[in-house]
Amino acid sequence: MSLAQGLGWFSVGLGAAQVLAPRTMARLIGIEESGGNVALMRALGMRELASGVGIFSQKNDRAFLWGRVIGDMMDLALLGVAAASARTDKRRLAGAALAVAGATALDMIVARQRSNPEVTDVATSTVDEWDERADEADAAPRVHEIITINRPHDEVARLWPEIARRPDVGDHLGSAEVSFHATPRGETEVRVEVEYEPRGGKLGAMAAKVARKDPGSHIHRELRHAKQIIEVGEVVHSDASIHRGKHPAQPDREVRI
Amino acid sequence: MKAACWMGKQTVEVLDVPEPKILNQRDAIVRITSTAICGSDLHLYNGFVPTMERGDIMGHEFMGEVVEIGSQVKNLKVGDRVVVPFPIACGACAACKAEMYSLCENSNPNAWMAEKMWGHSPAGIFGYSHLTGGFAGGQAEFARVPFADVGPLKIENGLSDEQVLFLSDILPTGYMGAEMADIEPGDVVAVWGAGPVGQFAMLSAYLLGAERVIAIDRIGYRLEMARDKVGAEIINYEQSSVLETLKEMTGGRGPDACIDAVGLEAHGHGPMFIYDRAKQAMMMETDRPIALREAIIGCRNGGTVSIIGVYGGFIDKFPIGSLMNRSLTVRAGQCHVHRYMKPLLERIEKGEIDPTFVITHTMPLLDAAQGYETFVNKEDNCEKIILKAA
Repeated sequence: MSLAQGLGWFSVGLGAAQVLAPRTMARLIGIEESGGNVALMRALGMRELASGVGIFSQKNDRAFLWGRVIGDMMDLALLGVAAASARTDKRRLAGAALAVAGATALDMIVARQRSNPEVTDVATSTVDEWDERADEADAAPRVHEIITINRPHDEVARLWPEIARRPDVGDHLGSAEVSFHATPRGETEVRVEVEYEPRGGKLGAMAAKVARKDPGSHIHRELRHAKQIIEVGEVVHSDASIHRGKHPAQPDREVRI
Repeated sequence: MKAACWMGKQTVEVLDVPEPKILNQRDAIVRITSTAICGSDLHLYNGFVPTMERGDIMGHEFMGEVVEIGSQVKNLKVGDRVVVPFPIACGACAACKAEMYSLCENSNPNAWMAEKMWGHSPAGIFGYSHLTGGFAGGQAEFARVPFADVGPLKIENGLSDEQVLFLSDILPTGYMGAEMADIEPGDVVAVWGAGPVGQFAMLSAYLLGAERVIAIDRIGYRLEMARDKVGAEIINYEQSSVLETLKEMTGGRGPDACIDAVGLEAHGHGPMFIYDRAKQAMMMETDRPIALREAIIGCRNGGTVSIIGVYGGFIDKFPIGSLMNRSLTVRAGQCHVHRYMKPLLERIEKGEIDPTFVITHTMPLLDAAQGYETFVNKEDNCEKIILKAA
């Protein structure tokens, strides 16, 4: 049995106990058996069941595994809140917190294995198989972006080489593979395909995407710039967009474009 | 220059900020004479629209005098008096060519934000969060107007600011709400919300041939305005059941068209209102669709629901069953203002429309903070506030 599957069975057992015997569980971890606590215990049990069953049923279980880590954090936070209350058994509460912390660590190990194949596998061969499957899914990272420009095919194709290299467009479009397709309405679809080498593993790629520094975001932005230049004559700015990073929507003392 | 800046939830301050400059060759700089606070500004004020930043200049209803133009603006000259439409539109993309100006494909430099939230991006809008471009707004002494060769409408006939300012947003918005309702002679049109946009939607419904117009609100003075100035029948939803009364008034069928001029901060009463408030407070839905639900449920079989009240995100308990099984048509949109400015200006010139009746307050721009407070709390029978910047 893999570590992930073990965690799954653990969750199913714990969840079932929380749902079926919430009072006993409340006593076990040292909180009061009040109506609110019992209801909360049942709700947490349902979540635990869902996250346990999820491991077995999800094809792409990475999101689920990270969801478990978030769930663990939630449990720790709730235990922290409980610790501040006078009506709790501090010794039992500490035991519960220790158990949850252990589970958190295991959840994080498994989640990281799924997220990043470079992390050494500590558990089983099943994890390897899943990793391979995940790798296949994201094989050969390619960016595919598309935009429609309200000008005829020949005009766009003729203007493109020069516009794609303009500094105000950006510096990713110039070297990108591009194809043009005339639409029935007389517009032109511009398709860009780029292969790239992701840096910093999958977490790095995710972070880049969030920061809009991944190749997809660059190409997307630059396609818009090219469309603006062709359709309206220049890249369109707002009071905020001329700044790198955040800036309120108000004029600046110096124009920096 | 002085400008009304969003400084956090329910905080607007008039601050000294730098004056705008030409950033694109099709820009103009306008010295603002009059600007107004819009009901949708209150959604920003109350913190219901994401991507606001401290220091954002508010305002998307404004007019004034051209003081500078970019090299590519050929149709305006310094000294021209103009009303500026609130959506920013390039005039060249497929959306603009189809006269869907509020869907301009080129005017939102932050289109990616809107794409994340809404799938695709609409046009940029002045002073309306960073999701719609991060453009400085018009509640200021000056504003930069992009695509000045497309948007601004020249006023050359000596009409007062008060008569033409609302061409920037609320008059065309109300008109489009009525137009989308596909009104035919003899129709009964119900309008939820008797704020300024609702008033103009009612007025436009009559212009487009409605037989009867019914105003629905909870605020007495707003209903009185709808009755006395527009000639609408009125329902105060705090005093009587809207759905029952509408049935009573329409032989049991319901209105032919329902216009939602309320949007995401709807009020109501009873368990559904409490439900929506709670869900919104817990961020489980972003918008409170109380008026919209009622507009759908109340509409006659095969009728049209027209949405001009602003929504931002997600709603709950949407009556899709009622809508689908009863063959309703739903139409919606931020107003394509450019499309309506000239024809509505002509109607104002001919005296067919006098939009000044909604104005209850006029104050200097410097008092914008007080203006927002008065408007949001409906103090002093406030319907519409004009701020004078010069």
